[in-house]
Amino acid sequence: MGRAYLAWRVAHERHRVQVLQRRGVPHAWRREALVVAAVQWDMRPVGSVSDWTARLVLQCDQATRAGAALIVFPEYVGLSLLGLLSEHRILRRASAGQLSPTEVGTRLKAWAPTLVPLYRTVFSRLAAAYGVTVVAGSTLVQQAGHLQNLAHVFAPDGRLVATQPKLHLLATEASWGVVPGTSLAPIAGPLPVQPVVCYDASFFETYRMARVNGAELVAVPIADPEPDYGEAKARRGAWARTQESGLVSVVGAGTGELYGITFTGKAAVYAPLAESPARDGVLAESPHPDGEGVVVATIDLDRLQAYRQQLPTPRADRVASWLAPRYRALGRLMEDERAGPPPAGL
Amino acid sequence: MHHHARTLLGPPPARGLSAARVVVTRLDTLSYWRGDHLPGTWGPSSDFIVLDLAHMPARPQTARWADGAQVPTLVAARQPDGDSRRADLYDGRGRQVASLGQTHRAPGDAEPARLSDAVQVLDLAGHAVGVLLGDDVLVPEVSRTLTLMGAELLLAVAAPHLPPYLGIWRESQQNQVIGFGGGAPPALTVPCEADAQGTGFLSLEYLGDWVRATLPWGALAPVGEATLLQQLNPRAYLDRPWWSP
Repeated sequence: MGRAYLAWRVAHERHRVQVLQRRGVPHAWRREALVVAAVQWDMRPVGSVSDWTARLVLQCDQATRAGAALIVFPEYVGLSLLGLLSEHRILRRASAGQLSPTEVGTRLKAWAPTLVPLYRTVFSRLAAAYGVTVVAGSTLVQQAGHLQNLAHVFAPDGRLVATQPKLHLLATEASWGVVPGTSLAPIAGPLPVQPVVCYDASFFETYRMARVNGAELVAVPIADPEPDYGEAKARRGAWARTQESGLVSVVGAGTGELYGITFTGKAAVYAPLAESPARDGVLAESPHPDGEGVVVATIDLDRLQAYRQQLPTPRADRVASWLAPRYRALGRLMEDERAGPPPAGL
Repeated sequence: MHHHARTLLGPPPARGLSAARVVVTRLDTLSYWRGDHLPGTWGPSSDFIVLDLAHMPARPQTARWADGAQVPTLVAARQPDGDSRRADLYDGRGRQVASLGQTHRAPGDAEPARLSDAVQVLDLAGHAVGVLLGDDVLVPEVSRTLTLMGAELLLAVAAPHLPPYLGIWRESQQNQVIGFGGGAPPALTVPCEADAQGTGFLSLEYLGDWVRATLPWGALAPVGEATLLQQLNPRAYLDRPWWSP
């Protein structure tokens, strides 16, 4: 299934990651002028580990030259490493659409234990080398026998301080056998940043929970499998949630082609309308939904904290009586759906 | 149980309605006070009427007007004695059959006389309609509740002025329902997947102070193929209930 070949390629090239050296002192950051960066990343497969690492270094160089203390990469940034299998027949079959979703899921599950340690090592070294917080996008990880789409947060000393599974899946992911997470992890690391993965930002509930967690920023790695980028569709997720919640969104976006899937999206930093210079809710946004680059913005967390006081607050007693019982009922219905019909005779 | 789950979370039930049902709303209050009438051909072909006014008229006057219109009429406006908004529903014979209040307000608003504690889905000529009054359109918990209660159409009335991509458009997207905003400008919204242009905004017909929206019930069918509501994750929400003090 390509597993042994992939392990051989990774083992053969892993030493190249060691060359990542410290490139500066850890970035000091201030609440009133926090610089954040979002990476737009071409998802195309890489030919070698050093190719992948060199591209990541380029993005980090650009972000930290602008003073960024936080860098957010896109969803599935680790899947570019599947290029290590490009000579293998299994990927030729996948590109030709000859694998069923279940087969794709089986392969991804088999490859994850080899790719994930490499992904974690590289991003840990990048965070430490630049002395910044890195939301390393996400990659597929085997958790308790299941695949999960997991975002990773590395502190400026290189420690992996938080992971966050995607809570709301696209149909394609579900068909691969990916399972959704069951909770929003607490915030960890020096910055008040909550990672949430792509489609999670289409649900107001995610940002409400992030605010309970103490988040002031939400890092949103995305990789939208949408060949035709549209302004309106792009405003439905992180941008809309920022307007509702007053939390800044830092969106790392995947673009380009990966084995027959076309991704579009713009790296961006979104703020409430009233707190953006053009009153459009955009602090920084890539000009194009394809290609690669970094966008950077400076935000004042104290000012945004004051702004959030002006937003209507959901009435706790009403939400508890309106929504909580409906969520409980929905949860029971979904459990029943998964369990299937009861055996005859019961 | 399985059928119930699909009914609750899947595409909206067809209810046997065509795509030609309409709502009519008022652009401003001037014509109302002049005693103007609905455009001649619109009244009889409408399913219900929404009057989104600046100030609530006297109830007997509205009842007479609604009696003349002969279809259910929802009147939404600020109360004359305060900052709270109400929506009163009259049947086709001019009888008041429901009265709704706003449930939330922005901190900057003057204290309303009273906030309503309840939301309800109205049956307007066979349509399951949830009403978002005033600042309620800014609180996504209200529209999510109404959607999970079965609303197929969310009506935002007496709402604050909001730029495109906010207000009813946003609620239409995240609940995958038809939305109609009676403010200035009025807006008819659907999930982007249900609009050939991909914007989620549909066109309206204007005639003087009146505007008519044709509700595209059939357009929601494709949305059901990738429905957002089926991906709700109640276990995660209950794990970290943001509504708890």
